[in-house]
Amino acid sequence: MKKVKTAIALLLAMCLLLSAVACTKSAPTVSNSPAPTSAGSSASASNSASSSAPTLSPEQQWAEDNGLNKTETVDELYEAAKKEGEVVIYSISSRMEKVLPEFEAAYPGVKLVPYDISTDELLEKITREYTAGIRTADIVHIKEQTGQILKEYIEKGIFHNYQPEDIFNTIDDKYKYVTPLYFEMSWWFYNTEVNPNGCPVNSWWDLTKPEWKGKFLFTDPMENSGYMALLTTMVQNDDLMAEDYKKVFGKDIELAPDEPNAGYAFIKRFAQNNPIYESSSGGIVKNVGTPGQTTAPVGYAASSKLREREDQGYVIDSDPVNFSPAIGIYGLNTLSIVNEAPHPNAAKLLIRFLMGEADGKGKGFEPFNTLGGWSARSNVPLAEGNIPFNDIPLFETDLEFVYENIQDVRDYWLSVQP
Amino acid sequence: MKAETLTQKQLAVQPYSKGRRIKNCLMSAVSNPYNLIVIVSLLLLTYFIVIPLLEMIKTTFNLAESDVRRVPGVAVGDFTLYYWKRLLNSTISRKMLFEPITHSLTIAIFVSILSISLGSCIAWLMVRSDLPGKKFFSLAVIVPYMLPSWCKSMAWITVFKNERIGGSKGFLNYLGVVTPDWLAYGPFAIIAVLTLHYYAYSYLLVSASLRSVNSELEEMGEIAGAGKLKILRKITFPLVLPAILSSFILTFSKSMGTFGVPAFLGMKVNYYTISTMLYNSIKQRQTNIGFALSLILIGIAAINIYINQKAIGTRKSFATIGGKGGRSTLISLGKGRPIIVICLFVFIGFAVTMPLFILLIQTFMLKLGDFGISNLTLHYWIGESNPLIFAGEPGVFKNPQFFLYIKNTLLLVVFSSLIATIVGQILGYITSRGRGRLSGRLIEQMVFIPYLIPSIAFGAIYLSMFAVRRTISILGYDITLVPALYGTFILLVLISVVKNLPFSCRAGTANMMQIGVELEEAAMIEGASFGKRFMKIVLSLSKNGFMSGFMLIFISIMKELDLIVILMTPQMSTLPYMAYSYASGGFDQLSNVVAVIMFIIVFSVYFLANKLTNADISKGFGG
Repeated sequence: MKKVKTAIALLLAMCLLLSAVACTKSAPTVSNSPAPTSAGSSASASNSASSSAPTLSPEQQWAEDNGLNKTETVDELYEAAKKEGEVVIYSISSRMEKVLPEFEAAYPGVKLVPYDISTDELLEKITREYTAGIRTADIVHIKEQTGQILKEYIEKGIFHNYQPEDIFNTIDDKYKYVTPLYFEMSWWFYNTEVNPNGCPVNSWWDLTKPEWKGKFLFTDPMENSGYMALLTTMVQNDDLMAEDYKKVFGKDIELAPDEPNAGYAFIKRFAQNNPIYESSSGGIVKNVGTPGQTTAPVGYAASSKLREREDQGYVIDSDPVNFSPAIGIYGLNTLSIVNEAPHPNAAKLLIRFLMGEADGKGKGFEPFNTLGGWSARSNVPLAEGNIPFNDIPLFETDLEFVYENIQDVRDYWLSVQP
Repeated sequence: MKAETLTQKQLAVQPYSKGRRIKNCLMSAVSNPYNLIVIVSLLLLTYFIVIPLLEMIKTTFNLAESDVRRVPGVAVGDFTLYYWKRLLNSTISRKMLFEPITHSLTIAIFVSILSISLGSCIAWLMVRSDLPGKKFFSLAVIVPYMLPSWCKSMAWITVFKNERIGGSKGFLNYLGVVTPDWLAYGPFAIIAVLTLHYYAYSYLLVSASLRSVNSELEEMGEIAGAGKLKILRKITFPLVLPAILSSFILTFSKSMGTFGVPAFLGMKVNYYTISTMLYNSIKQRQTNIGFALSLILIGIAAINIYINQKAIGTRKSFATIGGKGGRSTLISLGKGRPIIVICLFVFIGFAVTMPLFILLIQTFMLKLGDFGISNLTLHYWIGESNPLIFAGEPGVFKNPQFFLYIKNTLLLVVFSSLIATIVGQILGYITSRGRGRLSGRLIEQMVFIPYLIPSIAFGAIYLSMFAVRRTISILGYDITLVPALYGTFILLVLISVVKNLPFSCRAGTANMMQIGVELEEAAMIEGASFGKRFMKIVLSLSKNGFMSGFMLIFISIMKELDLIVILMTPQMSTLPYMAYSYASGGFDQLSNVVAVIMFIIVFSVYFLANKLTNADISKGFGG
């Protein structure tokens, strides 16, 4: 009897607590992040803008009010940024640490607070903060390959582009749906000791051949959505894949019933040719490029790992220019200003700094202008040893298509696993 | 037996009127501090554990934005069975759920059996036999638990690697032995490495339990004419069975839920377990499917704990800290002694020395590919910035942030382990005194849930829960139910404490179960209040167990990153974050230096605690 009583009492207590929490949850007391009071000049300018365009969403209005659609001078921004005092950036790159001393030396009085965190955790953090009404980050630096940033953040007004004319007139319009900091890609690495005559694979179809069975390293696309985006792009470009099949095998591709097109056919045959999966690009180049091997696999890894030739002494190289139909897709490293960011002017100043300032020679871009990374700007010099970006065959990226179809390709990939 | 007591009770209460009985029940329920503690604990656990769980369940039935176009007619956030259908009955079910779950169960069962056998054998040798050099061995066999698990996977690969994945030759390969794929990667390797990691649990649990066995019991058997084997089988084994079953829960759940080792050794050959599948889903922001998978994991663990509770049941625990002294006579190993010592040395060489050596040597290698003497350097420890090495990254000790990281780490680890241990003792008191009662069983089940919620998800849910102040309005007054803790150090401590409740609670339970109830009852008769009883008897007798529980949690929190990375701000970063940051920049050696420093901290704290307070980590667990 007593037991039952205590149990009932407990249950009641729990229900009470649960309902209390549920109540408060449904109407969260959104912490009033104070409407950022920006420098007087931009505020007055935006007032006139808002009256002329009454259809702006609150997010667009904020961007307009804070001068994200204008080109201000560095001095103006610096003055306003000094009043804000600091700028917080969430970044997927540890290189932001290198920017810190340069930025603070160039703009004394504005503190840079970088936070280096992995892609999924960054998105989880910023999304949950944003939903709860917390505004900590001013800028987010993240790689866009799947369309998620564009569709779920930029188009929704959670992230804003900031593209001052004097810098972004040097960037091709087709990339400007986001604010591109630099390009990266992945390509096939080979061991130069084992293959003195150059890269042993020249086409994606080579990797479906029996002689390469179980001899190539790849990052499992289930683990890395950038690689799933690549496979999705191949499905979209099935004509290129079919054409290339003919080039490699000398005959037209014959599709099996479970291969809807040449792109899917490639995915299936590739997956069933026993790839060795390695989680990180670092691990892949290590296995490909450790000196003293008699046989060595080839491996698909981030282009920036070419650096490890010097850093770790690996015997690796790559030949993306002669790879058909294309070596892959580019990964766009983007900068976005978070809606209602607490330090909008310092954020604008930092974006200008990271982009390399108006002349493209600023110190902010230097940490990113390395082997295997390419500026989107036409007036920033190529890093030493880099192949010019336009010489590298890449699939045309269609983020809309990738965003719409990546889940189908993911399911297909899973269903054709041996 | 049960029926009998019931009728006795009924007989006893008959003379009283019903109303008086109810009144008495209520009075004792309200006035008994035990009940108060139970209610407060249940309320807190509900908020800290059940609500995140409910949010996970809710998420699996809500449509995510990215899936809107795949489910016609349903809007974002609407109710849908899409994810469960996808998981349980679609073209991808086989690869997404059924195969991984088979793999996971296989691994968990084998790891449990092997590590319990291994751990119990070592525990028996350490506690009951006349093995020489016990001091050294008891320290050494705990070290594998202090090393990060990837470190052991790396050691495994270094030995058994074959040419398949490229890279430098494996040790056996170097000697001319061709190792087959099944040995180098996949289930066999995973089971072996996980066993080396988790045998520590059964070692700790079983040795604590063995230590409490009064050897008079065994001697009695001997006097009665039983052989050595029969004594082991009929007396010793049943006495440690609860410990074995407990370690089964810990090992089984942990090897089902672990990510690092199966990912490192399994994914190379496309061998997925449910945990690697679920981590990948969450990392791809396929949160809904990921949560569904993790609910399945929690379900399996709950069944496991339930069976375990049934198996131990309301069976009497073995109180060994009583009013009466006990003694323990060691059993001679006889001629087998040298052989056993050699075996132990080989084992320690493989499980302790090698992973440590591999980790350490890599911190001294200027370039990872080069094994020459000239390649050795201290640069990654104390070197000044050199533009030719790693783009000018200085050695770890010269990193301007290093001492901040050390300070944060120590603060977090010390506070969290202290609080977790105290909470564990209190919860342990409830579960041990309430064994067989609903409250005890409920708490035992609840504290296991955080163990199986993936760390990233747990951290993310806590961010939302504590992002803003939650208030309740009573008669026009706003009363803060939950303060806005996000962005504070307190939240990091809180989540570390909750996540480690299974450990601390188990250590607490073990501790409390050893303290005979009769001591408390004696004090009660003398008129001591509850508070006095708890402070003067329970806490003072459990000092030793307290210290060892503290150490266990200390080690575990020290290695934590996934859990807190979402909740941290840059100023709160810890050593594991530093290691991650280096690794993500491709600076492997620097990352390894941080790993070594973390190991040194853990080891020296353990060593000091061992020396100063005589706390033995193996006493923290039991029954």
